[in-house]
Amino acid sequence: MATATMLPDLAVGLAETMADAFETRRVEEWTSEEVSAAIFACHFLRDLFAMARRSIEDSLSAGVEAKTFFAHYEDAVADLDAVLATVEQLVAQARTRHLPKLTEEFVLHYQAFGSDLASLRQFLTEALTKAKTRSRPIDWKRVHEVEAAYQRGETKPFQQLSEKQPEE
Amino acid sequence: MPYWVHISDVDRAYLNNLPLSDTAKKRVEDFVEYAIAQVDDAFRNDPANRTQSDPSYLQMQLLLFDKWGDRRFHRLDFFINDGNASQGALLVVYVDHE
Repeated sequence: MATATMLPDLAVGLAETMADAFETRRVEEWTSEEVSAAIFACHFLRDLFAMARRSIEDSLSAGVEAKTFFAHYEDAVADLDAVLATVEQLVAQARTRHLPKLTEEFVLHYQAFGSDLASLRQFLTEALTKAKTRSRPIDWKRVHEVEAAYQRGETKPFQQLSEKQPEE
Repeated sequence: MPYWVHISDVDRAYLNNLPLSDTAKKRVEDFVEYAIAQVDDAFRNDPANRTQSDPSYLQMQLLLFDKWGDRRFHRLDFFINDGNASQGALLVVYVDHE
C-alpha cells in the first residue's frame, strides 16, 4: 500500500511547481515544450491515481480489517486535501489571467486532475467514516444464548456455503 | 494451524441474508475462514481488538465495498469468544452489519 504515501507526494510536487510558476507569473512565459511537459505530467499523475484508486477499490472489494485500513489511510485524506486546495486555487487564478492557448489547455488537464483527486478523496472519506463508526451495542442476551448453545454442542464449525454437503 | 470457528445457526442465517451481492457474501465467508480462523495471537491479544465493556471478547471488523451490488461500504462486526483458543476453537457469539 505504498501508493498511500507515494502518490500524494508526487501530486504535492506537481502542485507546488505549478503554484510557484503561477506566483512568479512565469507560467505565461512557458515555452510550448514546457507546457507540453506539464500536460504530460498531468496525464502521468492521473494514470497513477487511477491505478491507486483501482488498487484501493480492489482491496476494499476483497474485504479488509477495518481498523488496519483506517490506520493506513487516515492521513491520506489530509494529504489529498492539501493538494486539492492548491489545485483549486491555481485553477481559479488561471481563470483571471490571459494565458496562451496551450497553457489554457494545460489548465483544463490540471483541473481534470483535481476532479480525480476530489473523487478519490470522497471515496476514501466514505470508507474511513464507515471504518471508524462506533459499533452498536452488543445484544448480550444473544451472546449468552450462543455460548449456552456451544456448551450443549449445538453450534457448528463454520463452513462456506459452496463447501456444504447437501443434506440428506 | 487455523482455529475451528464455531457459529450458531442464527448468526449463520444472518450472514446468509445480508443485503449484499452473492460475491460480496463470499468475501464475508472468506473473512471468517481466513482472517478470523487464522487470526494471530498478537492481534487477538491487542486491547484495541477486545470489546470495550468486557475485554474477554475479541472483536474483528470487516470493511467491504460491494462493487458487485450496491457499490456502498459495509461493515461487519464479529464478536468472538476465544476462551477456548488454546483448544483450537473460536466461537462467533454476535455479528452486526452496518
